[in-house]
Amino acid sequence: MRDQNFQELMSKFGNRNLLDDGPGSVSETQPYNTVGEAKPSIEEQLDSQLAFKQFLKRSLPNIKPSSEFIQSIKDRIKIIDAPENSL
Amino acid sequence: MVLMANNDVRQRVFEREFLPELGALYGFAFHLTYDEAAAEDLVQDTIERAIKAIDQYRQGTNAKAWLFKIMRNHFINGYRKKSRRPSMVDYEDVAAIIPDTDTQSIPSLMDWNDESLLDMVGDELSAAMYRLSEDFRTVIVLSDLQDFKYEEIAEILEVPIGTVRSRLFRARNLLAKDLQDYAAENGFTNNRNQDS
Repeated sequence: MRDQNFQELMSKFGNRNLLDDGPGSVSETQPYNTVGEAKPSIEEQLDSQLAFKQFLKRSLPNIKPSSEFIQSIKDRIKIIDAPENSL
Repeated sequence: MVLMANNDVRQRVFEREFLPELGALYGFAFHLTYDEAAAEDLVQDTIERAIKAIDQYRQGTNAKAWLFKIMRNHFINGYRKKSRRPSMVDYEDVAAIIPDTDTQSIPSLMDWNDESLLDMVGDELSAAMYRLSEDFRTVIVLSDLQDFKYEEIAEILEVPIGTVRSRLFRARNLLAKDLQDYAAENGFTNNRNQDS
């Protein structure tokens, strides 16, 4: 982040992971509101990041391997040789 | 490196800690290769490499992160060279040259909680993921699909945590902008700033 003002504001909140976490308990909203009041776009950014992350989580297809492939892995590595021997 | 007691122990580690991660490994492999056969090969190679190095793994620790790291390194060292995809420049390689325009917020005009948005951009989302560079796509998969913590992602990718955060921030911005443009081109209007 190159915004000097943003850096100063962030230093007030320590190491909170504001990129992923939205406001939680009431005590968390107090400094959060300070950020919002000082620079409303930051609050929007944080909300957008969280909402988008949740959107990706539920929207991207959960690609799974076939059961045949899983069984082939199990069959291939049923007996494990000593590490120094090649499989 | 502590050698495991015997092959029974190794077999147990494989069955109880490695096998349960096969599905997640395959999902990651597919997002790296975008080819089912290549993904299967990558998973198989990863498991074989993990078995050969099994004595380097500490039982009961983070098998998933350990396996993902093996896979990613194997992909970088081998598969990426043979990939049929056109070579893509990593963002960090050109960041010092091109204007840093993607540090702005995710387009906040879209209501990402709107279920109808998924109907609109669902198929396009996969295509948009494919268009991302491998570095950007990887952090999104690791963070937003596989739920790894920043520290774990940094360990897997062997980069500082700050790099993980900035790369993830940029990746989400690019992806969201791509989807917003697609939605707008197709007349989708769930614009939060519009009057209802």
